[in-house]
Amino acid sequence: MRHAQEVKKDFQGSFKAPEKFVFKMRKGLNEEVIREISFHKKEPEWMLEFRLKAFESFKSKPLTPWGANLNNINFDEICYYIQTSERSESNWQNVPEEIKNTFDRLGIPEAEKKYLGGVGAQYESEVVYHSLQKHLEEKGVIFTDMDTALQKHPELFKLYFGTVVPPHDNKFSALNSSVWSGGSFVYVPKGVRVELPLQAYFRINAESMGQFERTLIIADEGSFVHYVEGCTAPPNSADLLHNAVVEVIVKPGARVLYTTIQNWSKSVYNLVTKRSFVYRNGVMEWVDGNLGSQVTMKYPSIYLLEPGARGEILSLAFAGKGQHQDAGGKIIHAAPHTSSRIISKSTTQDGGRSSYRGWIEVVPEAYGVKSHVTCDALILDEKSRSDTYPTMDIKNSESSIEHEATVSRVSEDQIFYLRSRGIPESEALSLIVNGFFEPIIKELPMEYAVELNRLIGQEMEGSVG
Amino acid sequence: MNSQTNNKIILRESLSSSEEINIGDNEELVYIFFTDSEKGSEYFLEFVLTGINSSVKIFGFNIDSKGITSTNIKVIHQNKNTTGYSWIKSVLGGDAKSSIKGMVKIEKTAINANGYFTHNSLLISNLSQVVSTPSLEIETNDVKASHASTTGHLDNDILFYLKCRGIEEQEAKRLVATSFAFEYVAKISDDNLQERIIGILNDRIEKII
Repeated sequence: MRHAQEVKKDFQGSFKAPEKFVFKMRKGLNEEVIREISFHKKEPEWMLEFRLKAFESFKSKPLTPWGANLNNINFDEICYYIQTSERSESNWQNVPEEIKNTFDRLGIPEAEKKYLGGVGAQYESEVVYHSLQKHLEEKGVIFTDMDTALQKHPELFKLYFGTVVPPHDNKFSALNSSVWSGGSFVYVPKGVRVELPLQAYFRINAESMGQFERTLIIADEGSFVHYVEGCTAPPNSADLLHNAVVEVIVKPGARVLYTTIQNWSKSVYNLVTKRSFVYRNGVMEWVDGNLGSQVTMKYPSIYLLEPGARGEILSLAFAGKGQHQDAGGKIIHAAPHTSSRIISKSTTQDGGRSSYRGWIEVVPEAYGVKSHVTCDALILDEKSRSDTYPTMDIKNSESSIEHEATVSRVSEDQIFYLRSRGIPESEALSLIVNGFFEPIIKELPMEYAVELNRLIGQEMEGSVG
Repeated sequence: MNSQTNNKIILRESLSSSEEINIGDNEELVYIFFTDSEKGSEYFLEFVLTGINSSVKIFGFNIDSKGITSTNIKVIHQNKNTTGYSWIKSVLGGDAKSSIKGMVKIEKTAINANGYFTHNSLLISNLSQVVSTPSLEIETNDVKASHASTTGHLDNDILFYLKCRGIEEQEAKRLVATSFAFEYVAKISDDNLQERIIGILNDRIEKII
């Protein structure tokens, strides 16, 4: 039996393995570094050009004037590429010892056997492990890392890569496009339903590391896939940067459910661009849980491009000491008879700050649109702060759009009630917070829901409202 | 404009400029405004609740059939037991484009503050557009703060029902639009003032149908 304290440490991913790598790029970013990354990965010429063009765009764009303060990121002090393993393995036994131990302690491969259709694990810049159940492979499902996809499925890759989030979209999508490495590539053929979730696990271990993974999901007509990602990093003295781009294409009649549980350590800047295109009668759902990181700026977005498309965003944020969670969602209704729903729940405590930033747009041609947005925030003490910044831009008169937001605290009555039932104060508070998040947690796969409840319990430990 | 009020009512029949009003201890302000795209296109209204127990109630009417207007309403809670309510109605016809920004800001010192902002829009023509941006910035926890925004259109079923009863289409539209705009007028406690507001609303809606 391991000591409870140690188990808890493992659970939060706060232990740190010694740094070990096959190849580590020098710190800083310039054209030479990008050329070397591309050369090292033996990429085709067009990808190098894509990277260099994106780098130009990165240099020309200023940091956003709104949102969290990003001025402390020193782009010259970041290491942009670390390779820890020679190749991506499909047998867990072949994964290098240190990495295997890390993921074992986090409990990654155990879950695979029972609950998952496939698993990917990324350590620093490269994916070290990928596996997919045999019967899915036979049906033509592709679940592999992006670098392998570029080599093995070049046509499919080139057809969709960078089409949903163009490199020049924003400063950080440009940065990602110029130095991207790793991430998952998922292709689900027509009519195939992947019943068990595919899971990817991202881990940063090295100091001053930047992880720039890119994920591309293509769900062909009438298919279904549930993709789950989890992220951790050990506490580091130096700031870490996690800068991902996620592109999802939902073809007619398909449905994609994308779940993220982000529990980065409090030294991580988490700046992610997530976007999906949804075609006729397709359904896209983002479930976005933000617990860790120092600063998160992440607004999963959905473009409803053809009639009947539907989008849903469930966003959960938990901001503690020194954290700023700037999360939200964005939905563009670009076709008639499209519908959407956003539910955002956030809590702040101990001087933390959480913001909801949302955008609903209805183009002039999109009649019969329905959209509903709810954001609720709980502030647990007087030091903390909560903001709500939604925008509804309605250019069509035949649509109905609703938005509501509330900010409140945990009332003394609620605490008193639970205490009078013999529940200690701190536990009562975490019960109430769990209840507050319930509408989102119930959408998660069982084992994730349990994990999240425990994480919230841990975050709440020792805090009395 | 004036900055000293005491249980005061301000009515701006056609808003033409920006305004900043401080509300002191135990003061209560009722502020009613009608935007007017002919007089101005950008308004900044700021209400600072500086006094203990101060309160403000804002009734805004944004009824237009042409032009572009942008209205910024900011209510800042700085002191204990302050309340701020805003009820804004947009009825847009023709090719009117309107943006309503409503900010409820509760500062650290505003213990037991209560802030609410609501914006309802009714788009009665195909070319009308609205941008609604209600925001909250809450810096302390012992508060109640919320906002809401809805955008809708003239419901064909309702129009059909009224037409079945022999009401002309034009008149039916006018009825639906006025009843939409009247929703919060009952919250104005002064009867004479209520009458006056209803009069202005009838005129304005008549013009845009």
